[in-house]
Amino acid sequence: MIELKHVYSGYGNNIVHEDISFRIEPSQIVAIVGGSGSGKTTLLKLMLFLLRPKSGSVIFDNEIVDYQNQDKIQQLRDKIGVVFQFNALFNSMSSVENVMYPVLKKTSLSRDMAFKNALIKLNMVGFENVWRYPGDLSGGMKKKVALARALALEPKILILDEPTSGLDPISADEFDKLLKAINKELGTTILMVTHDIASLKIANKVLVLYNKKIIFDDKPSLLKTSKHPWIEAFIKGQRGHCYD
Amino acid sequence: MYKPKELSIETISSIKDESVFVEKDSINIEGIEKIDTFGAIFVLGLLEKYKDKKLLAKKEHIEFINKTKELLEKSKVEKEDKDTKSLNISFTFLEYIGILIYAVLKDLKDIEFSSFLKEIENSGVGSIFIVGVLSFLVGVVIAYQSAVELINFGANIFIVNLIGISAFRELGPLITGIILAGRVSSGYAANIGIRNVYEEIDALEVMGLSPFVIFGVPRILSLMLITPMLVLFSSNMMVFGGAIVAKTFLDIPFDLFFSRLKEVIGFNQIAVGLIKAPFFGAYIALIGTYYGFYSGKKPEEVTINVMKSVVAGISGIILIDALFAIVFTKLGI
Repeated sequence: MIELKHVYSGYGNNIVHEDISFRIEPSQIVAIVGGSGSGKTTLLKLMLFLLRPKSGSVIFDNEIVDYQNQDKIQQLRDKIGVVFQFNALFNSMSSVENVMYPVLKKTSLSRDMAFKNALIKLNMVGFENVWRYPGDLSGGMKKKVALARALALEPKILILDEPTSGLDPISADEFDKLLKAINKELGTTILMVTHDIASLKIANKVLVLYNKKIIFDDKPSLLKTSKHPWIEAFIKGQRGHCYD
Repeated sequence: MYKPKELSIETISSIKDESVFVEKDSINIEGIEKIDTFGAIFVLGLLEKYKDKKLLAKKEHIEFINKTKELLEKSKVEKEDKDTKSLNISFTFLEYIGILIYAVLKDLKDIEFSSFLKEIENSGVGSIFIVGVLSFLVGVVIAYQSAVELINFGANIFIVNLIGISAFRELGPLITGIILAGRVSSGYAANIGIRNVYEEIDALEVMGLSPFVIFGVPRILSLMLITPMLVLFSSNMMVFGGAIVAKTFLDIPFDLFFSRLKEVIGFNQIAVGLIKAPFFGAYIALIGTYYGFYSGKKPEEVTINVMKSVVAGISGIILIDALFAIVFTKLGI
């Protein structure tokens, strides 16, 4: 589905990634972990085609991404739903209007269909108070609305930037289960950047970024077998015991 | 006739004629290879429209459509929850004044003198320049427009009466009030509104302190005190602008202008302006703080309330001025 081959990326003379290669298969849940400044957000920008690699190639659905063709790039982006770290909900709109918004703006479908789709997506994520405004919602509820909005256009890939940050452990677990259910029911490929080791249990694959390179690309259960000092420290971190 | 192979977000809008799926006894989508939520909503719409027809589709598609139907029916689409709207809609301005008076009586000791002085500086001293310049210009414009007519009648000297009485009685207080409503009232609404968004108001209440006393009262008192001074300054600047025009276009020297001014402007004329001023100040501060306290917790409500505070401030000032005009006329002042 998405493949990066020998990608070097960065800003100006500052290199963020060196010779990065990995592949994400359809319907996989992939977690990207790494310390602050390890290039996780830059990797997300590469996946969203917001940043062009300095060398190497990004392949989407077996086609090399052509960064010259902006129409094609937009078509590819339309297949991706994003949940931003701070949700990026429109405070002036109710929850249901937030979910209707991309459908009304990106398609010629009727308002009624957009409304019904929004209700279904909100129900799918377990959110009921559809007329509530984001300002009146808790962190977990906002996250659910943001997830419903990301699903509004039936994306093939869902990208989440630190989805459980700011949530209590129970809400974080609930959100993880939700992601797993969406992946199972809709077959949506999920790519998430996370600092939360407990969230790795829903992933099929973990990519660990360290010092501009991917130092781990395998099943999460194999993380504890790694001898890399950063991975060892990460596992022994605050919530590391969750994975024992 | 176009019959798509999939019913999805990409193809739904291109279906111009839904009857391609409608057969004698059934809705037939057996030829459909892929269906998504939008396709399911489309099929559910057809089933609703043709109630007597059954659905012919692949087993997995029927399951998906049924699941979508379940999710849709599960939605409790309640009416818009009015409780979530900001509190201020149910509050009236008079109730706010009542709350304020109660808070002052209850927590008088909490009024901070330093806040009071700071507000005098921010609202009063900070407004001097704009009040002075605009009042001077208004004086110039009125004097110039009048001068053209007065010359025709040889009544040049009456420009002093015209400028003096209008500046001290009406225009000084009104111009000052309008400037303060625009500058200070909006500032109060924004300042307190933002504190509301960042939960500073809640924090004070939790500490057992009255936000009305901490943020409201010093602003109201300071503006009541400073507005008469600004009105006096504004009236004088207006007269000064008029004096310059009188000298330039009507050859009325300054000493003649001001000695005539002394004759026509008595204590009453100045008092009329000064009596109105504290009421203007109180109203502007009340309306600004009111829209600040009851702006809700959302940033966009703050911006709306800032706008409302300016509109209500200016309209109210003109209304109060009109009421004073009636009262003073009745009293023969």
